[in-house]
Amino acid sequence: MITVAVVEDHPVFRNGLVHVIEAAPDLRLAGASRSVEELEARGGADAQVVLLDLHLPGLGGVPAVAHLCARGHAVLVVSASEAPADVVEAIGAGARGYLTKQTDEAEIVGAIRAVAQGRTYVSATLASYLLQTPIHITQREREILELVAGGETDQDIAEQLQLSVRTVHSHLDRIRNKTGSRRRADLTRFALQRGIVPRSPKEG
Amino acid sequence: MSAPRAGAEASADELVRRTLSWFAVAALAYRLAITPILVAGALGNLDTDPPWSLLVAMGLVLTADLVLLVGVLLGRFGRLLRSNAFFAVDLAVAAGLNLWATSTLPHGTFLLTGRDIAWGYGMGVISFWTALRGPRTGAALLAGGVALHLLMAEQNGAVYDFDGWMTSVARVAWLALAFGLAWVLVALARQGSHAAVAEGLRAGREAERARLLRETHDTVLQTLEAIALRSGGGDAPAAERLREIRATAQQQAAALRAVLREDTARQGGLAAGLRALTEELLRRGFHTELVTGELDGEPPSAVTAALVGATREALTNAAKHAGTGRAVVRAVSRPDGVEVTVRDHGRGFDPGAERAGFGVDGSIATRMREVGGRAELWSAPGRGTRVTLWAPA
Repeated sequence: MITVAVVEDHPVFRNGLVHVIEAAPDLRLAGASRSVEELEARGGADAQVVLLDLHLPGLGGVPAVAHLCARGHAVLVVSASEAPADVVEAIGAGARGYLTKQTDEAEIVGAIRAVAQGRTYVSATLASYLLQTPIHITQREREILELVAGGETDQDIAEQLQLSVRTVHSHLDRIRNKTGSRRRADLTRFALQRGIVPRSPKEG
Repeated sequence: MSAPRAGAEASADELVRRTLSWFAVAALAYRLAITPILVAGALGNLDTDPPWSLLVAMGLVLTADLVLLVGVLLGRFGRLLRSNAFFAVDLAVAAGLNLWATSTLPHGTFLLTGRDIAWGYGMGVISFWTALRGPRTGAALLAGGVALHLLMAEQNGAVYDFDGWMTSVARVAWLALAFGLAWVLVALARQGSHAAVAEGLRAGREAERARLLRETHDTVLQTLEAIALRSGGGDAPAAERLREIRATAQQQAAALRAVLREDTARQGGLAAGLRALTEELLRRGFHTELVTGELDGEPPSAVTAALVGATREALTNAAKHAGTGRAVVRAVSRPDGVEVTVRDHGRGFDPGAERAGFGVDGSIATRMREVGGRAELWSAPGRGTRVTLWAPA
């Protein structure tokens, strides 16, 4: 049984996600809240997977992702934003997957299962953004991202490249880790711009 | 709504920056125009003409300035103007011209009228850099100008009698005037741009708000009313009413999304065409994830029309036969053209055995051939279907 918490301030979409989780036999809802603060106050802290919206009252965006990852949750971002910067920054902050709000039920459930198993969930959209980010990836990793962006499943990719599914998964994990370490400097700048980290007086 | 507003603030800064760069152009034009006037005046005043080499050097400097002026007007040289190296070189040239011009004067004549051959160029330099780098730089340059003038008088062995002092004060005052005017005009330009942009933003936001309210009324409000109406009493079974409500909500969500994306759609093009197509299919309950991140350049409109038409056929086939209700469409630029793939993970079929009903041999391939492209089909029972479309860009 996978325990899942939902953090989403839009009531209709939150209820939608709750229904998706309740309808899946192997998922259990650990809590649904409007903000990260509420999630922590009302339990749900034991959830394996947190479905997280990026635009939340209180702690939101990249800091929210980083905060929940530090608490040991596997964070799966579900956001209305399709801006490549938001997507890549969320992954850089430690999110294990990213879904847009147009995703259907089957894909949401599949993504929850993937991240609960410790894997990275890369949707076609996310793969195309990762291909565009200036990270150094190997030829093999590029091939895999190209195929994910084209809508191929992990199984298809494994067959086409004559790899095991497990190898495909570990490549995707490695791409996610690269995005994270590579973009840490950018994230610091981002945190400074948003006033999350106080600016040193010298920089005025 | 925060994203477009942030963009508008950025455009305010951009407008101010552009206004200021026009001011820098004016300063550049001034120093280009004033120098020949002063040289002509000097030629009239001097007993012995300055050497040709100095005049040629000034001519070269003015030519370089002219090139710079034309370049800036064409929107080039942005990085050069911001570089410290160019700043240093420009100051060195201005100071060097003045020192050289002074060295050609007879001993002790520097403080006489009309012996400030290159001084006007220095005024242009001060107003130019005050506009580009702000009043602090301008003030520092003014102080530097005073020092330069002392140095030039010293070099020439000029005598400071009453007239000499008055001439010195007048020359420094010209520099101060150039600095002061530039400072005031830059401040006014900045204030004016901010006021104009603020007014534009306010009007724009009001119009946007009015439009959004109207759209919200036309879509969201009516949907909510429809849902309220259907979920009330009535004889239809609950499951059917739910299905109706769901269809209405999906339809309106798609319509609202289309409104929000209006801006991109207005630009036309392949990505917008595919986006409109996927939204149309979503309204019929078929989910399509559209991936168009890596398109550079737009194919000709005939190619776009063929690609969108062929994609529509492929998606319609998937909606009819695949049985999964979802597909991924990816458009990507290739070195020699543009490629669109349509992939579903539905039932699939054996392409060798079962051809009828699938448009790849028929209209999809025909459409692509008409624009010099091609279509490929891959499918296997239980493995879904992939249609790959390619066209030259």
